[in-house]
Amino acid sequence: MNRQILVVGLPSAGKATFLAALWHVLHSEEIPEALRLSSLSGDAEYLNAIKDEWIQYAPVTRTSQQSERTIQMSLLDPVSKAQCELTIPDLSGETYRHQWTDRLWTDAFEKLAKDASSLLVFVHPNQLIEPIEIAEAKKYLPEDGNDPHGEPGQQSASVAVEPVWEPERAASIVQLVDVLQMISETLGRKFRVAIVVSAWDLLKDTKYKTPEQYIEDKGSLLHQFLETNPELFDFKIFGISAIGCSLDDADAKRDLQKKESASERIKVVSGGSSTHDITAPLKWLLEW
Amino acid sequence: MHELFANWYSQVSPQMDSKRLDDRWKAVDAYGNALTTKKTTGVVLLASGIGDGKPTGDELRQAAKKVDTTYVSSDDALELKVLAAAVIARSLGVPSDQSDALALGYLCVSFSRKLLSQMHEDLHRLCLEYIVKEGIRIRDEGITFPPLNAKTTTELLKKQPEAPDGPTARLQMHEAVTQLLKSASEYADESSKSFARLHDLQREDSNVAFLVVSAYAFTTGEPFSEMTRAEAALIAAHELACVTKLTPVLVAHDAVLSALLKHTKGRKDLLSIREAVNGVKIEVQKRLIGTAAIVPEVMPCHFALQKAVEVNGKDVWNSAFATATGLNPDDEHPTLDLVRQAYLEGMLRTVLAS
Amino acid sequence: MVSLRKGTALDAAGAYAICRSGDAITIAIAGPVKSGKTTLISSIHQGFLFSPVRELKFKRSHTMVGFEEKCFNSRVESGADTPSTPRTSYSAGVEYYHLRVKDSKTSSSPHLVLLDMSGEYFDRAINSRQDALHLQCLRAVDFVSFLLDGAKLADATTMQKVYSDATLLLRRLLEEKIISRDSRVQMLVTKVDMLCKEPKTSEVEKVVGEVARRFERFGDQLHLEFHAVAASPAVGRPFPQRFGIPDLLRIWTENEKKAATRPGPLLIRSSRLIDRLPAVWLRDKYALVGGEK
Repeated sequence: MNRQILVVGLPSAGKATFLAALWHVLHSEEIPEALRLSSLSGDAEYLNAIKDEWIQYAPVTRTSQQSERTIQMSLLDPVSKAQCELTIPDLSGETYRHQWTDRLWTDAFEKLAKDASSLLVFVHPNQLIEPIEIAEAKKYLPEDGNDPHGEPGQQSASVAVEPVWEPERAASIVQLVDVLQMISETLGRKFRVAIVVSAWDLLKDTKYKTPEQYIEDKGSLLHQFLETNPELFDFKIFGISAIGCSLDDADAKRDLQKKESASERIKVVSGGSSTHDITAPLKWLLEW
Repeated sequence: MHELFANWYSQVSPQMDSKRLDDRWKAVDAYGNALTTKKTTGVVLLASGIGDGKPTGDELRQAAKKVDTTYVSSDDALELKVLAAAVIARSLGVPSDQSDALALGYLCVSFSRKLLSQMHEDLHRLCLEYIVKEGIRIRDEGITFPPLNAKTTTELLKKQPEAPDGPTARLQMHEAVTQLLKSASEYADESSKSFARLHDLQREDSNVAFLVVSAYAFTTGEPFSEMTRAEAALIAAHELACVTKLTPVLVAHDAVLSALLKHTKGRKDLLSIREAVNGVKIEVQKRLIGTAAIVPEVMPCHFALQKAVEVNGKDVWNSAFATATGLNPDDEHPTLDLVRQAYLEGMLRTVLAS
Repeated sequence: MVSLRKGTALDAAGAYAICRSGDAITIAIAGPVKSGKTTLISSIHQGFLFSPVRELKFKRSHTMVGFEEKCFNSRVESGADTPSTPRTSYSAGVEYYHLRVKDSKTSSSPHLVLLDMSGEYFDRAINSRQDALHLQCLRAVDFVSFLLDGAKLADATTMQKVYSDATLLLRRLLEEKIISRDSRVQMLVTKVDMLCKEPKTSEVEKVVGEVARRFERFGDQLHLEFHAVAASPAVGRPFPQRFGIPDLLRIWTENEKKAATRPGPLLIRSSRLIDRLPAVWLRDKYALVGGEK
């Protein structure tokens, strides 16, 4: 069985970090139920490099448009013993950004989209340009205009700024939905979409107990889009912390380093359940 | 271009694009020119938005693409509907069997359906005006005897500046005789048609008069005064359709049907298709459906009869009816509307079978 | 390279591609300069970014870039201190914004096609019949939503002009047969937060009632509907963002059609008595040509 999963996400959405952690889990076999690597087609240098960054809690190098590549691997499901050939084009987030701003994509990308059997879509909580309205924001400012987070006695300066519209400053969720619209029109058939809320650990002290709640609220447009097009999408939402904690949190890092295996720092939540198996979204997509 | 086409097409294209409008009209023209009576039902269904629109929709698309290669053959349901409506409107400008079928068909398919749009109202009106106007014309003006138009040898020879030689004269004589025979044959054809129509008209007039005066139904062998309104409804429509010789309709059909119903027992101002069908015995149901084809969505009354006959007159045909027509057989209608519908269906069946 | 859909406002050809499917509901947002047309359109899009709008959920849009451009000036991301809306240029002509929604109550998925044009078109149409011809595109729409600037209605120095201009425009549109009794014309009082202290139904209804009275003279010629919105209430006003927009969307998506005005009786011109009978027995449906008896 040959499958191609198209990984979609705007810049800094967490795709590379996911790939690094995935690579580790696939070949380390530390998680019994996770998919395993049968064979990797081609050079493993890139994957090993980002895996090393990940395992040492260093920021994982993002894929640039110049360093885009296609990763092909043979995978084995240890439970069902099913095998499949998986292709993951590792595309830069800029590729998708440019689809939104320039309204173009390459012939190569069109082929990738048409050959895809499913999508893995990344959304990063800190990387979203949110469509907050000035009028709404002002409701939360004190009446004296002082920035409550500023120095005492310091008045916030009110500078008249002439708004300059640039497409890249559009709300992130709108950009993402538009890209998905265009991909779905190209595919012209129903497919599975796994939505990954990356850096899930950043939301642990918030009101969002599940990734579904997060997407329904902060990614409402995306959620509505997926729900209202059941003839096009079969979707599932995952929250994934590939790193396990914030890279600035030394205490948390220390705690995670004590774990027996590096894979145990990974957390994947979906549908009320939690696991370390970062291959869970792939397994769901490959069922298709 | 029909005067209403631009208005109708503005639903499809909010800002007028005259080239596109012209192209679409050319497609309508081309399609209308090739339209046969058999295909009129498809056009009617497409114009009213009923069913999947095949194969008429595909045929109209092809016609549109022939004129405008940029025509996109998907997500065009409204555009096809407007084009089909335009085909009907165009055809109604010239009386013909196809026009009769289109006008009757559209009026029939509109029964019991909420087709709320200005285009529907316009088209409905055009069809009503057509059947009235054509019903009058075919009776008032349709019986004309053509003039005999033949050149005699003398007329031909009169025009010669000098007497022709022998061979030329014989040729001219032969030509004159041939023309005379041809003209006489055409004259005889047209005259016999006119005589036949005149005979039909006289027959129709006397039958209608007899029907109104006697209020007697030949289908059941009893007067209408012996029937309930529910029983009489479809029978009255059938009786009048049988005596109407010239299509599309007897102009006074509303008045005659109303007169027939006046005699029935009881007063029932509202009637459903189910009541009307169940009010008639199985033997009579069989006589009412006859042999001509029945199109469910366009001829709901006759289709209901057909379904009832299939189950031997039992009252178990309702869900099959609803599935095929999209209508509820228990919906009540003003009785005269239901009877008129059954009459129009009968006339449509006659046109389609001819 | 493959060119993708531009995503900006559609032109007439783009609107045609959507309307020809038959699922489209076209709404013309009409009104003088600065009456709130662009704010209304952008607030419709903005509303769906945060949540479904009552039973309506976002399904698709071919003009996402266009919507975002319209919304940008009102957002924190713009860097501006106060929200504003970009002016719609006269030279841009008629632009169409597309939004397809799914109604979870009825399961229908209508396309909303919002027609936007510079207020200058309407200002000029008041003065010139020639200019009124540019408004022919309003003829075939499902709704003409005419905006009355609530801020100007709240100001005694500008109120009369608002009513005067609106009345003149309605007259012009009627004379040019662009609207009629069969049209759905909505009079929308925008910025209603400037006219009411609180978003109480009774207060808003009172304001709307007063506005409606000013247009009673059109009672015979038009079926006017009156509504109030505050798409972007002023800071400090106790009105929620997009006040009145959900109700407006509901009305548009329901798009209740009513039967058109019934034409007169069918005319009969025949010398045969039998053909003339219907005009005798069914006088409401048939009449003889020339009114003969």
